Parts: sequence; structure tokens; C-alpha cells
Amino acid sequence: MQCVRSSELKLIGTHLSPKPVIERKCGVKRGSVRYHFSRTSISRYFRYLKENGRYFMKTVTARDLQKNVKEWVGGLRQDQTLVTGQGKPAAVSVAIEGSDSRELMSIASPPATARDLRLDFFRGLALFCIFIDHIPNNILAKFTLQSLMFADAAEVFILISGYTAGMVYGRAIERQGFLIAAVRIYHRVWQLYVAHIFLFMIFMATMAYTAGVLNTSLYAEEFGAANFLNEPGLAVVKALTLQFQPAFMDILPLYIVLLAVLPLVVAGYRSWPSVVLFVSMSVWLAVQIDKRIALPAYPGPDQVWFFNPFAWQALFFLGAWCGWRASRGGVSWLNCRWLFYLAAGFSLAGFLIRFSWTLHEFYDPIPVSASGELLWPFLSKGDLGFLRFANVLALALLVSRVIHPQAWFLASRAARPLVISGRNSLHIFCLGILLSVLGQLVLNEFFGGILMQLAVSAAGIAIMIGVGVFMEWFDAAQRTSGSPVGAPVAGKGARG
Amino acid sequence: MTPAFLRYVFILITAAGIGFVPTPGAAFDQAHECPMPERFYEFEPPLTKTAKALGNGREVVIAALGGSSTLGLAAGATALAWPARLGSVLTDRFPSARIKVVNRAAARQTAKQVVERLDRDILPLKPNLVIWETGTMEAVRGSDVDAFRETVRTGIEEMRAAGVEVVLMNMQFSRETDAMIHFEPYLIALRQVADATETPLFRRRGIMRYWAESGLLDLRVKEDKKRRELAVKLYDCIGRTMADFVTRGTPGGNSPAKPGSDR
Repeated sequence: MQCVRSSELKLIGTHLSPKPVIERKCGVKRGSVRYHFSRTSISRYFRYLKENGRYFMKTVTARDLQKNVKEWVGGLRQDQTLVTGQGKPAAVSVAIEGSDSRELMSIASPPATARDLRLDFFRGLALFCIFIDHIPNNILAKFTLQSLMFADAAEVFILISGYTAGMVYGRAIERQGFLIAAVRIYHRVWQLYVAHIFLFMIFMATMAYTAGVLNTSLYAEEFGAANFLNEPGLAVVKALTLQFQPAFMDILPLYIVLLAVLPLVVAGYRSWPSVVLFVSMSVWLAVQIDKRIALPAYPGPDQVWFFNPFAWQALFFLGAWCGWRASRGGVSWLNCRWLFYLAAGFSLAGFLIRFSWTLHEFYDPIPVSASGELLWPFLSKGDLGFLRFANVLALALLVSRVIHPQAWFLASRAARPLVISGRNSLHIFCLGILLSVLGQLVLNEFFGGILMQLAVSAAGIAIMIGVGVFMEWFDAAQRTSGSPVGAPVAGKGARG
Repeated sequence: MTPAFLRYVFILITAAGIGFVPTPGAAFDQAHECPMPERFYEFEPPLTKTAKALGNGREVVIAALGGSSTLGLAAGATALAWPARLGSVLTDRFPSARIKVVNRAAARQTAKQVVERLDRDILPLKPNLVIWETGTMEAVRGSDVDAFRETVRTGIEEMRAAGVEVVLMNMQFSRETDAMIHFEPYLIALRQVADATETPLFRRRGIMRYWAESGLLDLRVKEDKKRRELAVKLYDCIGRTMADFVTRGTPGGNSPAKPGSDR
């Protein structure tokens, strides 16, 4: 690699300021020729350079960059720096001139290095909540998200997954083109599908164990109607087609279907974002008005998908839109003040009402602050009722405004278990389902009071963390032993 | 034709069952045998009209709605099911009242099917009280929770409009099924309807769990014979506890049997 001086190019960085003017064509002087680069052509140009071995990436932490940015910018010419609306540098070029005008670039690119830790952290939190909520008779389930707000961990999980998917695959489309990005998405869909089949096997095993006990038990007549094993062949086929969704096997099929549609949606965002969003919201609204809009499931004629994909797509694709926009500078109107106050007010009201219900459950004489009956129509989980939808959005807006993406506590040791779990979300999710089945077996077998429930929950979470840590270690070990360094593709875990 | 035949079979089974099953009631003369902690009833609204009718010695008709466990299938006969036990306990306690407990349960019916037959099957009986055991079929099938809640509310309102008092009863407790059947949402839905309509909810699931947990009932049996014994014992307990639950606060009614220190 020739180390040469060349007044050249630059790019890319968005996270230094909330609103960099990156979209604008940037003129860059190179010799006497002036090149105009759009974002797409810049990424193509980088790819070209990389393929020809003339490109390496220097990774710099966001903090380093912030520290050094002044000196760097001081030495740069005006036309080599992109300036944001607030006059702060949005991107920095470090360039060296070469005799044959080949260049060597060191790019300080904050988005590539500074992960948004909030995504991992809160997804990890949602995964722990899902595990705890899935153990019946668990006192801890009274203290998870679902008892504090109208929405619960499922909404958080789908919203963050949508956001991450939109960000990662949106970026992939820009860099690698639509086809490659679509293939990556379908690879992910395949992984989810395999995980779904794995969960189905766990379910079948539980059933095989239970069915024998059940038939001789007190409940043979009553639960015999659960014709689970009456037609096992058909059940397997229906599980493969995602139509058989017994307990706990409902969220992955939703995720699979949504992710499978994502390439089209992101492609739509590039051309007509408002049209796509409008259609998505309209479909959600249609489901709220006409409850018959649903996807049929097995068994029985009336059975439908528990998580109605026509309703839940709105949350996922809205998240995907935010994530897609985040990689290109964010959405300015999300920063406006009245929206913040609205979200804060809504979240507070949601908390006060929902938490009063929780307290009422604990001790009946505690009055509820609003009648649940009036709110029922807006609280449907399967159809993502208005209050659930709005509450999770309000909370997400609050969190994104109040907590910095690299806030110290997110990077602290205490938060690491959550961040690690969130980063390996698919594996930890499946593990959580398995553990909640085991946990409820233990609790029902040995009973035990609150202490036992706490112990089972703690043990489950410890195992989830342990597996997460192991996976991180293994990935790190694999990375250091010879995989390509500095690939601009977002690394592991940055998957949707 | 069919019902007559079934009844015949039931009688046979009962006759056979009684042969080797301890006579129901004999082992449970004291209410203390199936205690119900205070938390299961203290905040449930009382059944003033029914309790008053019982106390005044009038004719009292109680109808039971539900599935297999209300029908008493596991015990082998309707005469051993909890409604029948409830009837005999109440008759003992209020000898002057003419108490009639009608079991109108049907196996494997959804709440919707029950509501559909209310006006031809239940309301003509002119019951003072309907005890409605529901939710199992919905949980087993995993049907829509919101629709279920709405159906139960409709049913309660229909019965209320006819001047009937209602008690809701939730599902049985069973260790084996939790991993396969998602009861929680349906239990919550029943609680919500009960709260919204101020209907007392007999938390059978919690009470059964309490009995199993405190070693009063061993719900895990394998052999057929023991299973029937257990069912007889369980239904007797439910019947007695229900009698306590229904007559709370009446002069003639016992206050529910309290265990030593539960809370």
C-alpha cells in the first residue's frame, strides 16, 4: 500500500450532531477535477477502493473523535468538511496526497464504532421480562413492564427489532445494493425459522411428557379437548407453515413474516416514505375497526394468529423507518419540544393508570385511577390496541431523548449483562422460552413460596446471561483469529 | 334417547363408584377439612339476595353452568359433582329453605355457546343464583381473550337483567398443563369482568392450588380408582367452600372456614 499525499475525500459520520446536512452533494477537490458525490456514489467509491486494496479503516471511538475533531478540522480546508446546520462538523476527512493520485484514507466513522447501546440494553431488558412473564404464578411478573405501562415486553421487543432491522439493512442497501441486503435479510429469516422449529420441538417434547400424565389425571375430560396430539402429523405440518402457534410460539412467526416483507418496505422508504407509512398505518387502523381482519391459524375454524400481523406490522415498520432514518441523520420533527411533552405526559398517565391496577390487584381496597372497562377496547394485545401502541411509542421517544446512546450507565459493568443479552437476542429469546417452561415445571413440582419463585427467576436470568457472555467470548475469539478486519459491514449482533 | 341412556350409565357408574369410594361427606363432616383463606373471599361482593332468600326459608334455585368438572365426570356421577354437594350442604344449613341446585353444565362448551343457550336453558328455571364456571375451553383452544371477556360480560348482564345473581368460577388448578396452556390471560380476563360488573369471583384455581400446596389434596394420582376418590373429595371440598362463599355474611351461613394463619 503506497502511503501518499493526496488531497482527497472524506465522509461519513452522523452521530456528532443530531442533524448533519449530509444529503447535500459535497464537492471535493482532487487535483483540478471537482467530483460530486452523493451518499450512494461515495459508498460505491469506497467499495471500489476497498476491492482494489486501497482502503483501510481506522476505528476511532466517538470520544476520541470528539476530542480530536477540533484539531483535525483546523487543519482541513473548508471544502473537505461537511458542516451541519448548527455549524458543527458532521464528517471529517483525513487525506494524504499521492503522486499517482492514489489515496489512502483513514476514516473516522462514529456510526461504525459507536453502537447505540440503548437498543441492546432495552432489548435485553425485554427478553428478561418475556422470560419472567412466561412463568405462571411468578411474583416477579407483577414488577415487569406489563404492570407499569399499557404495553409490555412484546411491544418493546418488536419495536427495537424493527428499528435495528431498518438501520442495519437500510445501511446495507445503501452500501451493498438491494439484492445483497435482501439476501442478508432472508438469511436472517431462515435463522428465525429454524429457531421457531426448535421451539416447536421443545413444545412437542413437553407435550409428550405431559400427555401421558394428563390422560390419567383429574383433568382428562376437561383438557382432553386440547387435541394436541390427536393429529400429530398435521400439527407438525401446520407448525412448519407457521399456522400452529401453541403457547409461547406466537412471537417468532410474527417476526419472521415482518422481516420477510422488510426488503420491500425499506425499498419503499427510499422512494416514497410517506406513502409506505400511510399504508402501514391505514392497515393498522383497519384492524382496529374491523376485528375480523386476521390471519387464520390451526386448529379450528376460528383460530387466528395471536399477534395479528396486520396490526403489529405498523409498530415494526414504524420502528424500521426510524432506524432507517437514523442512519441518515435522524428525523428532525421527532426532536421538537411539544412532542417530547406529549410523550412524557402520555407515559406518565399510562403509568399512573396501569400501576393503580397493579396495586389494586395486590390489595383490593386500593382504588383504580381509571376504569379499566372503558379502556378495554384500546388494550387488545393481539390487535395492538391504540393505548399499547401509543404507550410504547411515547416511552421510546422519551428514552431516546433522555438517555444518550452511549450513556455511561449503558457502558457500565452493571449494564453489561443486559447489553450482551440484547445483542444476542435470538438465542437468548429461545433460551428464555425453554427456561420458562423448565421454570414453571420446577415451581409446580415443588411449589415453594416467593423465595422459590425468586430463585427460579434468578437462576433463569443467570443462565441467560451466562450463555450471552459465552457467545460474546466465542465471537471475539473467532474475530481475532483471522476474519477480515475492518469490513465496513456492521458486525455481529447488529442484525435485525 | 341419548340423555336417558347417559343417565342410566351414570347411575351404573355411580352405583359402582359408591361401592368402593368412601361415601361423600362422611370424611368431611367438619368444614375445616377444606379451609379457604380469607384472601379468596374478603373483597368479593356478597350475594345479598340469595343469602336473604336462604335465611328467610324461601324457595331458592341455584343453577350451575360449566364444563366437565362441574358435570363431575371425573367422579363418575353428577350426584358427586360440586353442585350436588353444594346443594346438600346448603340444605343442611338452611333446613327451612327449599333449595334446588340444578346442574346445567355441558362438557366442552365455550362461553359463547353457554351464553347462547341462557334464555332457553337457564332463565326459564327462574334461578336466584347462577354459578358460572368458565374459561377452560377458551384457554385450551387459545381463543381471543377480548372476545371471551366480552362474551362473559354479555352473559352476566343478560342474567342480571333477569334478576339473577351471578358467581363466576375460574379454571381448575393443574400442574401438568401450564406448559401447554396459557391460562394467565383468561384468568385476568375473568378477574376484569368480575371487577367491572361487581360479580363475585370464586377463584377455584387459586383455592385448589392452596389445597395442593398445603398438602390437603394430592392432585397427582395415577390409578383410576384413586383418581375417582380424589375427584369425589375435591368436588366435595369445592361444594362446601362454595356454600361458605355463597352464604357469607348471612345469619344462617357459617363464615368460611379459616386456616390457622395463611396471609
